[in-house]
Amino acid sequence: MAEVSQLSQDAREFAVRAATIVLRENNCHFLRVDKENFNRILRDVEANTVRLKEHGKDVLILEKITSNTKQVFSSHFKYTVMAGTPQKMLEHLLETRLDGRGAMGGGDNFIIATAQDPFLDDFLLTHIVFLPTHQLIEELDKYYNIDFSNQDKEFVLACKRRVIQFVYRWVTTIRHPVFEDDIAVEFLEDLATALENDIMQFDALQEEASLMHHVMSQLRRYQEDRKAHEGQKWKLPPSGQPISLFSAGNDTNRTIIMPQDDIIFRVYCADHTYCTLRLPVDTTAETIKIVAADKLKIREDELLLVEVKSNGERVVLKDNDISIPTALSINGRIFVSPKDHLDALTCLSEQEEATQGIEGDIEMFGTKELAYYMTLFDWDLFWCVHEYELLYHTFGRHHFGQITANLDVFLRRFNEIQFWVVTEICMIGSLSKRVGVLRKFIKLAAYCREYQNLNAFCAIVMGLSNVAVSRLSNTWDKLPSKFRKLYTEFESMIDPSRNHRAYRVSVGNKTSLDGLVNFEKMHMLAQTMRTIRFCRSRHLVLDPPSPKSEGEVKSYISCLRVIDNQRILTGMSQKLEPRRS
Amino acid sequence: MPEQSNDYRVVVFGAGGVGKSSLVLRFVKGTFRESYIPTIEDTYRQVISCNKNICTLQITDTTGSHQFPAMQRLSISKGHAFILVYSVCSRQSLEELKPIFEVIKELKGPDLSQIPIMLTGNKCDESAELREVSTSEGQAQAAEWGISFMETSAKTNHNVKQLFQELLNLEKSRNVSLNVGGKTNSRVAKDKCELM
Ligand SMILES: Nc1nc2c(ncn2[C@@H]2O[C@H](COP(=O)(O)OP(=O)(O)OP(=O)(O)O)[C@@H](O)[C@H]2O)c(=O)[nH]1
Ligand SMILES: [Mg+2]
Repeated sequence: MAEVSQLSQDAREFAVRAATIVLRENNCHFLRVDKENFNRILRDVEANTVRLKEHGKDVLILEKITSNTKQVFSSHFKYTVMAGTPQKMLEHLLETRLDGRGAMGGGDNFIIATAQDPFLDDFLLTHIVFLPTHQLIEELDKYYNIDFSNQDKEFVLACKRRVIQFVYRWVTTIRHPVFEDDIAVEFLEDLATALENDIMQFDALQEEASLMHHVMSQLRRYQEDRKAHEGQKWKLPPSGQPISLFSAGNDTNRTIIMPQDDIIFRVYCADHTYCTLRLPVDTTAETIKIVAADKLKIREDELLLVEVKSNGERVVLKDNDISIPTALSINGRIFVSPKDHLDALTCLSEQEEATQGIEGDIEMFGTKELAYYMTLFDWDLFWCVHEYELLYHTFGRHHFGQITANLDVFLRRFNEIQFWVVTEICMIGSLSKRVGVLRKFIKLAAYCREYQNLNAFCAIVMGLSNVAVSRLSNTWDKLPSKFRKLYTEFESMIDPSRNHRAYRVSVGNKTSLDGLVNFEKMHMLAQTMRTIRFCRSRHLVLDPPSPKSEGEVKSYISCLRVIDNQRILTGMSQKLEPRRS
Repeated sequence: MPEQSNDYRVVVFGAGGVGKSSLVLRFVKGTFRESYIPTIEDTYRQVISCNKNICTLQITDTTGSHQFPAMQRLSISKGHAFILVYSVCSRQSLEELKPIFEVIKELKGPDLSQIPIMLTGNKCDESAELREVSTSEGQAQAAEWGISFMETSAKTNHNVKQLFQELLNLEKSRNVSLNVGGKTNSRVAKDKCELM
């Protein structure tokens, strides 16, 4: 019974909302609810789905939240957005999820309720996919500056409150990408000024003024911080080592790669001559191509920028792609070549060898120490990755014109660890030594898991399951059964079907259906983004192992010797333990 | 020691803006540009003959900027021959060659007589008023170091090909030459550099 009354209350709430929209004459494109439609809405409510139509077309589809997932506070909102036009969803969000009533009305309950309801958060995290920032700003601006000559004062105030609250949540959720966007910054400045004027006129927006003040001081702090770090330089070293800050001696990894930072890298020709370029990280492939061709004096009309991987594979880079140097495979190199001579591109001799790691013998270091410093190192890389980079990566960064450099570096690290494991094992000629190192890697995986470094844990286990390692049956046979069991357990923990979840969500589901944004998909993406955010929000507190050779371990794990060519690795493995015929 | 390969590697050193890239580009591509684009590290290849076989001359154009010091030692240890460039319009640029020469000596051993090295005063086309280092001063410095000397102009293409030919002529361990198949001997303009 309670359920039914709740339901009809929601329907009423909805009807009231629809009615307010009709009042807004100057926005005649908005919904007009005639009697027939209104009845249909109510009918649909019974069917758990609400369809909002405009000119006979669906513009918003809501679904009743099923009660089995009911949480203490979520009952506040009965409907979740399944699909909608971007504008309609924003409108719905502002009117149902943000408090228009001011200090008297909403209060803490409202805040708690929104914290439990993911719609706002989903929208904030994913809007760039369906509603680019400049369009979002246009809508917010319209909403804030609603013509109030013939409107109820409370209604006008509610609009303004909602926009400020939205902006506050937006800025605190998304952080630096908002501050990096010139149009967004301009909007924030204008909004702050407009609010100041409105306070004088309405004398009722004090709470919003303090939210906006908070936003603006964050912006100022960010701008100062940016100035202090302006002109950062990165380098992609020539022998396949990780990307690092150019200024030597700076051993902090916790530096975010920004689009305007410079990166120094080489571009090769078919004859293996090269030029070294220094360009902003967000330079397009086309610009790199033009600059390189000019330096190398190639006078060819149709040129291609190509990645040549260590296995000889050539990947043509699209003209509008960005983040090129950071997204290379471990031992890959950038080449420029006339379109017709692509076949002439071959690996450099140094690509056929291992990348240049930092000198050191893995057996010299304590396993726990290795795991500890790897965890610190990976953590710093992870900390730099913004949730947005995941979206750019899934949908293609060229659609957004945004770099994925920090995510690139993090993913590269994963591959580096994975191939390091294979490389180290395949480089040991002596069987007994190989067994020892195999054991060490299994122990290392165990410690990484203990430190909750799942990145390194998965990378190590995947390295051990690489065919070049797994086929070494003599080695595995000599491994104490305790370790073999441990490894089997680890391997079963890595379920390949769970990998690349965000990517599969994106491929397996359409972003828009009949002109409506598939918001369910946005919700799934936002879940993954929230996981990243949650992980990053935690502090890494580990007891350091007794320092024996801290400096050496630290530098050793920061730059690993790696062969990333599977054919070579398998060849080495076959030499170690020839196939029994 | 440089590994034995088919490449003959020449490395060009000198302060920023003295005309290293201009010399290399004039030699390899036959072009010259007035605008200045600082180099980080570029390489070029040219086919030459070596003991009557075809081999490649690999030229590494280095940076003169103090911003990018790192690769210097690596290029020296890999290099077979060196061109040290200063600008005749800048005494400072000649001074800046001294530490580089010291590193070459350190890495290649105190007896440099077996290693082709050319001290090169570039921009000799510039007017007399702009000149800060006279030809004889350049010669004296080369003599002190026990290496060869030449004045060049990348702009007017004066002595550029000769610079590289002379350098290869200094190589005693093998017979390297710019001329593939044909006869050697390009005449070196030993006369004083004309003013343009
Ligand atoms: N007059 C004159 N100008 C020259 C000559 N060679 C180079 N220049 C000019 O000097 C400037 C610097 O030349 P570059 O060849 O780029 O100098 P660089 O030594 O390679 O400088 P970095 O790459 O920064 O180390 C350019 O503007 C050239 O046009 C020359 O022989 N005569
Ligand atoms: Mg140069």
